[in-house]
Amino acid sequence: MRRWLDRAVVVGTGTCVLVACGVLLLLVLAIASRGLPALSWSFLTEEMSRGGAAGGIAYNLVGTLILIATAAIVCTPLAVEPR
Amino acid sequence: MTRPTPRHTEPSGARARSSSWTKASAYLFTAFTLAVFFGMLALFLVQSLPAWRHAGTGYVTGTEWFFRDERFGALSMIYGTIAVAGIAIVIAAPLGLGAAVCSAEILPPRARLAVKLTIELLAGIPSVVYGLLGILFLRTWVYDGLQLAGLDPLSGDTLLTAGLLLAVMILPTVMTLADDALRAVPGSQRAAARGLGLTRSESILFVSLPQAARGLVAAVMLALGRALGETIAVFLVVGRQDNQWPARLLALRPLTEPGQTLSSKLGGSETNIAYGDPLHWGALVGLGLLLLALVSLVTLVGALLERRGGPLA
Repeated sequence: MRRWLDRAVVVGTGTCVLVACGVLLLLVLAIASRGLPALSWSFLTEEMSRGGAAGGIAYNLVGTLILIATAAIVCTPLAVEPR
Repeated sequence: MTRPTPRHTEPSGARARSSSWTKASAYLFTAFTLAVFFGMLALFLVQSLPAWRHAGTGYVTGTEWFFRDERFGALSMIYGTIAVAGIAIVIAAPLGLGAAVCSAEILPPRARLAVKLTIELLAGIPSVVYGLLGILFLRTWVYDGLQLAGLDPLSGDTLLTAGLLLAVMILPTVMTLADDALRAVPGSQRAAARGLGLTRSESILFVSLPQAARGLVAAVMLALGRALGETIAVFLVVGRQDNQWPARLLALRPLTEPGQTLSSKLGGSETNIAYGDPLHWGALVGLGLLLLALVSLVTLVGALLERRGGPLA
């Protein structure tokens, strides 16, 4: 009975780990397999053309960087806790 | 003979001044952060006043939302939010807790590190990416599944789809926080349990799990908070159908139909339409207030439990 319980716990929780990691790894694979072929240097450095149907993401990239930088500059001094 | 070094030395001169300045500015910034939060809350309250005045308690208990007829009832959306988050937690909690038990108690340190790293990496995937994956795969799968079950679904955009997607999204949160909680149980406790002749599973069930109970509940609560407030991934797959108040509250069938959540409503274009009209705008800001209250409550309980740690009282 005790040995049976021990095995059940190992198998049960092990399955949970496999399912969790499996699902999440599959997600990454799905994204990578579809996204990687589209990535190239020109995709990162060109501006978009034909209303976003072609070209690259240079400005979107810069925009994201500006956004992150602004947020970091504003929140870093605010997050300093008094001791 | 060595004199014991004093543990706290009084700073003097320039150092004292600079330290008190740092302290003052730190307090100032903390006060500012709090002021921003409460200012936001006050702003939400004031801006949503027209809606509360117009609809009264019907705003929370009404199930119909027709903004052209100035009828504002948020209950269908509250139902949607809770249903979607409920599906997510029912799936993610057992799976995440089980996985955490395995990684914290059973796996050797190296394998545990690998699992933990993977999971924490995946917790960082932006929600819009999950949303795209939901459109790409989950929507079709749910549609096919419902058809196989003979339900003749309208589309794959349902509360169920959003719930399943959210389950995957919050799984890393549950797992990594639960793993931390279990690791916080002292190893000596485990050693004592094994020394008393308990098997590994018995020491997990009767020592580790009860000791970490608070932390485990906190993990689930914090994940639930994330699920309740999640917007863009839900927005993309929930169907965004208004006024889907189920005939029977606990029935499962309404979950296979499109719905609307508080967050998906606020993410939609109605927010832009409403801006010019104080009443309509107030009604939408009120949804934000309800969402804020819901998420704050759950997150607060989770954070309090996590801070205390230890077994449930």
